[in-house]
Amino acid sequence: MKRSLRDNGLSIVFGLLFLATLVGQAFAGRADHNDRQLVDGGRELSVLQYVASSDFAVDVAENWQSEYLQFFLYVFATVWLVQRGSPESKLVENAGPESDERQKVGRYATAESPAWARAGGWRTAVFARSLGLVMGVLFALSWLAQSVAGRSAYNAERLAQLQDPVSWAEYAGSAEFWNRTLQNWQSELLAMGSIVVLSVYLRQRGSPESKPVGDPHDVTQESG
Amino acid sequence: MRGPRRPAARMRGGRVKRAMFTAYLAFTLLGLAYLVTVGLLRL
Repeated sequence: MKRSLRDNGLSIVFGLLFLATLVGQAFAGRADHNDRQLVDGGRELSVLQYVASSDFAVDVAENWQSEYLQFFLYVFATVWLVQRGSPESKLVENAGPESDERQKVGRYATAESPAWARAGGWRTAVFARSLGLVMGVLFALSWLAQSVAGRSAYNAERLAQLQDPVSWAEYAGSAEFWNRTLQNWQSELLAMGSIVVLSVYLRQRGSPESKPVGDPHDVTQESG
Repeated sequence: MRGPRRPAARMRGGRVKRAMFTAYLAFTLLGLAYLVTVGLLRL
């Protein structure tokens, strides 16, 4: 039991922190929502009502989509783009999908390779891209969820101001939707660029995100 | 050719690891379905 917890510490701790912050968001979001309702003369909501509201849904979804976009882009971009000196990057000469031998697929698969790495054909082709594909699908679904929930929340506001509701397509082209979207994207892209470039010159002893402390700045650590 | 089976390596944290994989993916997908439903119901 103790060993299982230690072996899975990252996923367990991040999962628990995620649940705790989601609950925190529900309470803080509800308080903020109700404060605004006091000003606007609208209806106050309980925590459960708030969690079932499109205001909560759009706030959750817009953050999810940008995080999954971040990892989708990162997983795919790092196949082709490199950063000399960064532990987040491959060696410059390995840019691209690499050889079957290096990737241990098809006839180069080992006895311990996953079955789909050995299978060849479409199964290996899909499995070889599965991480990026799943991140991409989760990004697309989260962005869709943001647009659907965002439209609902936006229309509730418009109706309260006696304005006509907008269609999904109109909302997807609206300044409100793109403002929510781009403010999340810009922060993710800055953070991605930062970890790539700061890790060239800075170190975190013991972290797999960092080079060993004594490695020269121009060493690009091979991974993936 | 099949390689040697290594039960000790396979058992190492396997169940919890798989459970975490399933939990993350399932929570995310169910969460997304919930968020879309809330939006569609115009709550």
